[in-house]
Amino acid sequence: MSSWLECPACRQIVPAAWNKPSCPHCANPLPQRRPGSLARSAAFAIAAAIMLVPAYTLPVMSIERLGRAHADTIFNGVWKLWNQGMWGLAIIVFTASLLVPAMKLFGLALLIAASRWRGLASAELLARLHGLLHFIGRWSMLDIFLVAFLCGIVRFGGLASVGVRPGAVAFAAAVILTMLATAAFDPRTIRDAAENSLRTPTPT
Amino acid sequence: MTGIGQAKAPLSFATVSRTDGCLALSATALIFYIAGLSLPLAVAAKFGEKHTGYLFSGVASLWESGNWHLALLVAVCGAAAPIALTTSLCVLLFAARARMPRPGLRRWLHLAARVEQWSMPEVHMLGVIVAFTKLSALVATDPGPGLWCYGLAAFFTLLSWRNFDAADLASVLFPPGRKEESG
Repeated sequence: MSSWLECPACRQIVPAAWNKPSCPHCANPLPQRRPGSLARSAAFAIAAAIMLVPAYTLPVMSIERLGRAHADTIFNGVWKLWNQGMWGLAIIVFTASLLVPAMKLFGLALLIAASRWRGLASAELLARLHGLLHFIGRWSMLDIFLVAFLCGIVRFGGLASVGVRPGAVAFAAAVILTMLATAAFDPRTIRDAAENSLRTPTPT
Repeated sequence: MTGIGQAKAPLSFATVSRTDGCLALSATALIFYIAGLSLPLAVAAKFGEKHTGYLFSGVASLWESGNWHLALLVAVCGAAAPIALTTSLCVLLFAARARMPRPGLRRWLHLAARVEQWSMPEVHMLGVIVAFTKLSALVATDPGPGLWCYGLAAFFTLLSWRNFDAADLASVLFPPGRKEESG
């Protein structure tokens, strides 16, 4: 059984028996057991999944050119890039805006399910998955930065202008909610599930 | 602070070189952020009309159109968090290099640990590059010096965070046995 904690600020290792809420080196609050971590994480993940529906179906931005305006969804944007021969960019936008949020939600669902019902996957695999989810989450913000930049630079009135549409707000909300879901998840529940499965005798 | 009569233990060569390298990277990133924020990011032209865009033009445009939540998100993740991160690293590493442990430095370490996950200059940079390619069909766009500065700032921030050894720094600034800060 592991009896050490890592301080999230200074990365010093502290014995779990250290019965104080803060790190002895930097006084940062040590990670405490978060009651209801799985429920909170699941709630954020479900909210994110709900927000992804308007994010993918509503237009994220509108482009007005010479008085004619048309709005684009994320799918449309990727499809247009592909048709214009910008395959590399289409793949980048597809990965960041469509694949990463979906993968993140699927990964979170797997983490929550494996922590709730032990034996679905090995603890090592789940710990790696948790680290991966932390790393990839930020890349979904690509579309929001893209829209913000376009809005700021293309301001020529009726000649050419770019505006934000509700899909962008829903998409940003989905990205933030998935990040909060990963942050709310207590990785120690993975270890708890593994330890419980070791303690429980296998029926013969 | 070191007590009277308490000698400062010399820092190892590895610690000094790592701290120096990381401090140089963080300071460079901070300088490039200042340049990236103040210089034009891009100049767009359509039918002879020109428009200069800065890093905060997008934020201002989003704010004006009523999307203040998106504006805040972009401002925090694209500028405020990266600048807070590099500033904290500079303060901490400078204090470690000068052997000036102060209780107040803990706040900078906590700040760095908290803002790191919201600091996304590399994602912002990629978003701007993709936007440039999309823009080519709409308006003529030229990259400004702010874009290069912001890109370099993002690169140096990544390098400095990768080289930042929080445990090593904590052992210099907050050695075990030092009186813990109250509160």
